[in-house]
Amino acid sequence: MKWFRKGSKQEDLSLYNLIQHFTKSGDFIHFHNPQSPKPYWISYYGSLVDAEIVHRDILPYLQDPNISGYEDFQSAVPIEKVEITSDLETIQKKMLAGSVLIQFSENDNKGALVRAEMNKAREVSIPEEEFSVVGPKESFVESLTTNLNLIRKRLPIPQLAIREFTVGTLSQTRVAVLFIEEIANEENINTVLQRIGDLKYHQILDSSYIAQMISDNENSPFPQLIDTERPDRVAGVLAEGSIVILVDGSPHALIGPTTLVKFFAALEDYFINWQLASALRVIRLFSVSFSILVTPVYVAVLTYHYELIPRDLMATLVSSRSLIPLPPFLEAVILELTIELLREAGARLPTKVGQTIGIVGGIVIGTASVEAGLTSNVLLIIVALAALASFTTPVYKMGNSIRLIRFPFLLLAELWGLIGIALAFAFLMGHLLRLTSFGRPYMEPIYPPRLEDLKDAFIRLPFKMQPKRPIELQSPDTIMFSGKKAQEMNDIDE
Amino acid sequence: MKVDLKEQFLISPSLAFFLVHSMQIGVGVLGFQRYVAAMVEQDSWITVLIAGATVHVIIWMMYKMLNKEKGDLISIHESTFGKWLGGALSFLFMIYLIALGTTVLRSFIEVIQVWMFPMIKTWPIALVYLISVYYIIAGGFRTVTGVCFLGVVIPLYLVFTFLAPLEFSNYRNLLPIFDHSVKELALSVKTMTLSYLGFELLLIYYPFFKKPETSQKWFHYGNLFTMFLYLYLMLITLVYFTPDHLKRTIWATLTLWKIVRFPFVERFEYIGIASWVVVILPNICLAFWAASRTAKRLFHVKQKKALGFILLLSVIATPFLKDRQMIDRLNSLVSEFGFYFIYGYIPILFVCYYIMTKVRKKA
Amino acid sequence: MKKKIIFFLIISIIVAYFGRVEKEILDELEIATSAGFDYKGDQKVEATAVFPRINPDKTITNETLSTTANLSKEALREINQKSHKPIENGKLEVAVYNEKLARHGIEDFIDTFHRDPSIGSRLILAVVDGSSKKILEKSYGEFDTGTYLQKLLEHNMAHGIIPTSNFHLFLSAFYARGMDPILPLLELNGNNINIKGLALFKGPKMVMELTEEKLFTFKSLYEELRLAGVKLKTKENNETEYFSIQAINSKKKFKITNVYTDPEINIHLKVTGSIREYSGENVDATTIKKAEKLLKKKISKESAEMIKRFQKKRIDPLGLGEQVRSRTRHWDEKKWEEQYKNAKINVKVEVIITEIGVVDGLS
Repeated sequence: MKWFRKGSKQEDLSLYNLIQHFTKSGDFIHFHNPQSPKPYWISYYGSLVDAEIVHRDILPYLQDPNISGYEDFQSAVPIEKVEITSDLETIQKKMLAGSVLIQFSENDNKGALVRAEMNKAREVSIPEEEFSVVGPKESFVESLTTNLNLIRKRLPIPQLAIREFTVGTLSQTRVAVLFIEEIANEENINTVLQRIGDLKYHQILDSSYIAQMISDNENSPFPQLIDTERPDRVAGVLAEGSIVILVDGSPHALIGPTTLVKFFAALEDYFINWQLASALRVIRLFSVSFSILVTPVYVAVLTYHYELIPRDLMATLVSSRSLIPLPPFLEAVILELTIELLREAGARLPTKVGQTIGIVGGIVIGTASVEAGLTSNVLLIIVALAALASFTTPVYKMGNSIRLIRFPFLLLAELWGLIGIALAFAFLMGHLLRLTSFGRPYMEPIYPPRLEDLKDAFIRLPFKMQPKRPIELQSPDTIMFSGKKAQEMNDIDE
Repeated sequence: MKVDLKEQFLISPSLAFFLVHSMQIGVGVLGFQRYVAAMVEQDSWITVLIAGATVHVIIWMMYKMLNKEKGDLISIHESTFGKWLGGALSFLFMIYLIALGTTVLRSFIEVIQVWMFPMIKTWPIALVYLISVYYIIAGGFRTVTGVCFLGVVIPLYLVFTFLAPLEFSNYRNLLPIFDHSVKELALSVKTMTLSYLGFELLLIYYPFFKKPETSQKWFHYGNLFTMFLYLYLMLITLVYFTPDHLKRTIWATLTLWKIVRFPFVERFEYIGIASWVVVILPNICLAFWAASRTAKRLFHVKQKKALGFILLLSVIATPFLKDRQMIDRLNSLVSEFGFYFIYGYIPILFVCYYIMTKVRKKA
Repeated sequence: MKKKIIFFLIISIIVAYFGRVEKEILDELEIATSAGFDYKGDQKVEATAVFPRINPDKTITNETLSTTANLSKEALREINQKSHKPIENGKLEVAVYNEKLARHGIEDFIDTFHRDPSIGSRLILAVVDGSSKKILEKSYGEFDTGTYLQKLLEHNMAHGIIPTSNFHLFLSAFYARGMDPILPLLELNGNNINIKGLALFKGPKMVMELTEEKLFTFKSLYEELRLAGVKLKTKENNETEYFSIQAINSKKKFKITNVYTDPEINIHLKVTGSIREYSGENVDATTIKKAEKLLKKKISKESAEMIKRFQKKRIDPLGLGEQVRSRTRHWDEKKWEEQYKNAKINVKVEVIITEIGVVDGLS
């Protein structure tokens, strides 16, 4: 006797056999109560079912002498839906999702399924990766239902559509695709639905599995979907016309189609006034380019182009390097790896220990290696700053990509100096231009150049200057809001 | 014959601005001044303007033909000269495009060899460069256009660095104005038009515009922008160098950068050369894209295969161009061909095409 | 996918191996900041290179190496043989030639520098009275000699009396028609470097020297004065009085009549300045008038004298020929050279003292 599988021979299967098979599992509860007015068999997975519901809402009604059959039971139990079925597939699925099966005879080929699943979810807490000082402080949890609740609360409109899939032959993970009808582009929706529908994998543990499998180019180091733990961000992009994917068991929602610049926009940018937000974005973009380029430029200049160094800086550089036995490239690679090592160690260890490691590693190793003459202090500053700068990206995964693409730049800088850096840049440019997110260009609004979308890219202009939805998303309903100008330009003192 | 393309591969007409401008600005910019100044010295800036104006006329002619045909050069050739002669002419154009791409690449590598790395071998750098070119062209015309766009926008900051030489310039170098004969001026205009070459690729990518007729305006603007950039550079060069000094300076633009000094960086020419990697990327991409596209249209082969073959040819060819003389000779050969193609062949084609269409209509 | 990865790896290895370039790692070079050349008889030069030795504790020691050879480039190569690290000239700040060499002609040396892409345009050239080797071998304060010389010259050009000069300006004047180059002239005075005056060239050869006292006048005619100081002496009632005047700025206007026949050049010079020091009792309106008159007299007298001397030597460091050229159509250089000798050149000076400092002495 096998588990119920699609396509297996129906004749071999009876409900009795199925239950017998389940009983092999230690947490399966299957017992008979002959004392009650109408004797019954009850079976469920103890680990999936909330015992309180069973005791409070099911067992008392079974003791009721008025109940004589499944229909009576169905109408008596105060639980939304009691299903009476003989379909083995449904029974197996529901029981594995936490339903209780009630039978009045062990050999009955049907039974009543009562939902009694245990909901042990983490409490909604403060976002940790995308923390912002101002603005809402809720973040997603592992439960899909809770997450949907967090979103629906923010978008109480009937147009908010949710399409559910079950993905993963073993994990049977629920995946929900969210969009707002008549705002999200039909083509985008179909792309997403089709890609998720086509997914074939045995286990989905997190939304990042989905993200990797449905992204346009799997070989790209750049994330093509934003993942966020903030329901407010999700609500925001839904209203713009994006599509959101939520996965049960994952506290991260996926947003697409997206563009490169959106990875550098923090949600906080919308909570503070636009001048400040724009300044912060410019700083962020600057620090990212700094992070990618500074070590390669150091290597290139020190290895090939000493002419570029201003004379006054030269003394500093030469004196810091005069005792170092390694060429600039090796020096840089070693330091970069050290920083990565510290970061990785810090990330793997418990928070408190991690912090200590960071401090000990950063200060002790850094100082010691400079004093020992293994690395120059100028490079130490540069590498540390570059690492710090890479953490300014609001989306964590982008920060990782930034740190990774630094290495090809470094290699080419070692090979051909500034020309090598420029060549690496040419490759990067070509790659980014070829990338798409759900078929939409990744580099938008830079290329294709769209002035309208540039209002919320490198800078963020005030809300009233952005009445339209991003062109990138190709929304059929382009106008986000329309309203007359609240204030006419008045003359002085009028 | 109309050339039909799927909507998703088309580009916005306004991008014509970047397509034409990025193709015109190439390695030539690093040293075009002395060839013009050799003849007309302080009046070179007038030459820049006249040459730019003549280009507008040719652009107008090309658009007239293309708007009527709704196709590209290959279809124009075919409807004017028939399948075989037209095909042969298109093939010649393809050879020109390949030579153009190769020349640009080789000339740039020469700049690297002279200014930065005297020891560097030609082919490894050509190989790496062309791999990136292949990667970009494989993304389709939209990606190529994207490179053209970024290849113009990103290095635009360099425009401001040319203001630094003004500290040591002498405005009297521009005087007296109009001190040369008409003949000298005409000859210099011919030299200057070579710097404007590159817009003829319109004949290939015209069908890639959404509503191609509307792109003409942007195309003219692009050429106008090139003209202003050349004018700007020429004026700065003329006030910075005295004529005899300029005549001895092979790469005047790079020499201009030698005077730039920032508190954090000196000797800007090295950064300039590195930035030029991005500036000539559109040149090479567009030339090889157009060549492979022509091959596809002519021989009905897969463009990817044609492209691979053409790039391989280019990688093999570059190391054979060894010294300054050979590069110079190839450069002048390619630009002469381009010059006669544009100022000789296109007007002839223009007339022939109109006659042929009239004849066809009657028949 | 597998194929692609293997292809990628092979290409990277090949490119990394064959594409290697010679490295110039900063701390493994001796970066020369200054070079000096001394005349040592027929076709022989002694070249001296200065490079700072930067110690780990950030102090700088001045190191020099010298050798005698034929050509300047060769000399540098021979210095390389004496050094334990390769000597690079990409950061050369100052190049000095001794007066003997300058009088003999420095064309070859200029050509080497001009041809070398690693030489910056801001390199300052100077002529040394005596031995350049001696000047370079001495250390001055916390800097190496190259840096010291560069700082000394640059600040004196910016706010002093030395006319602005660098490699680019030298080349411009060198190649210009109707202008001759100038270089600052230095001398070693005890433990200090002194500005002795100006070395005036006819083409590549130094032909004349201008003493330091006349530099104020020269600079005012050559370019704009910026904060240059001058000392005036007057004897009145048997009492010697001194003025120290700081020029705030100066403006000059050229008016040239009879350009085509017999050019007459009128220079109108206007100097604005302030009194910094006065040895007399009070600064009042009459003192100001007096100072203005004195300065005007000094400049007029010196400039007339100076220009006479230039004409006699047939050199044109002020670029008067350039002024005439820019006002003449079809300018004939030969004819001008004939005319220059006897051309009428008048300098009209106007001096305005605007400020007297923060102490009000007017009563």
